[in-house]
Amino acid sequence: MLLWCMTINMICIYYLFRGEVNIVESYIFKIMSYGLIIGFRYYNYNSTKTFFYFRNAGYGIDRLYLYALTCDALAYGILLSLLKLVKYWVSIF
Amino acid sequence: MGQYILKTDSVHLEFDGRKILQDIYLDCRQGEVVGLLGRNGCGKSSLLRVIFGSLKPTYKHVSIDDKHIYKGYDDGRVAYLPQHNYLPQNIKIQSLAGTIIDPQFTDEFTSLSIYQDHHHKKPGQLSGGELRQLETLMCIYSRADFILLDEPFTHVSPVQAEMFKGIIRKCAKVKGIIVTDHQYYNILDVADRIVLITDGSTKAINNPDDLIRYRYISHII
Repeated sequence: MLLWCMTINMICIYYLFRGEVNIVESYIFKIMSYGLIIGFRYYNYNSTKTFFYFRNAGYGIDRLYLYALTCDALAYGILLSLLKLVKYWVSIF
Repeated sequence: MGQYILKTDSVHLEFDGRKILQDIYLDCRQGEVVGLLGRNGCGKSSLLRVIFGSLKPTYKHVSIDDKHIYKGYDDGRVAYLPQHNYLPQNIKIQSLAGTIIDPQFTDEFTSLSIYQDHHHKKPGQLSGGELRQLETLMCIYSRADFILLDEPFTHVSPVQAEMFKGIIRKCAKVKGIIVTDHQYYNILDVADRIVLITDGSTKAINNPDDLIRYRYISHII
């Protein structure tokens, strides 16, 4: 899941800096990717088996997804801001 | 700690129009081991999954201390050992154990040889038998007030089964444990009380001869 989110982040940033998508479109693309990964994990046999571990540990699966994907969206926003800042500095100096 | 009681009542479960469970009452207090017996396909595992909350029946009433609970796993009140492997494959066992083991049993669990030998490994690096042993122990020692064990004695050696029974008895001093297995002699040995599922309903078993009367077994070994 982490690998998937990082890959999508890189793809979004690449197309964003090429000017082919804007920030809103990149977030829409990311939301679609969240839907895909959640759908895959619900229908993947091994993933559904490991749900029992998280439930036994007292974690709600929905809450785990919410926290993980919120963190990813925030990390994407921060990464994007930093890269825009770097790009701006490079254009000045 | 108060002596909580887990009650399961009026469970109705159907698969493709076939009634699996229809007249169910099962209770378990903290401090006791309840053995659940029944033939293949009678609904033992389904009942445990209904209590745990991972299987949705047509109707159920599950409560702890007379407070209705929608899903047993909410707030970590109930833990469930499924028949299949359930540990994530790529996380070290010591990390997995850290979040699931009841703090009052941490020293006991970490002193077990199976943990000592493999705590630095990932579940994918263990043999099938080692992994099953570790998963069973992690479930028995988990933080939940009530533990549901689905076939803990299957695919383990007699020596390990004896070890599990000792640990189940010890943990049952502070937890309620419901255990089911086809090795009925192990269930008779470890359980304080036996309940049989037959024709979709639960029957209290007062002595082993009742198992013959309900045609669960032909004779006692």
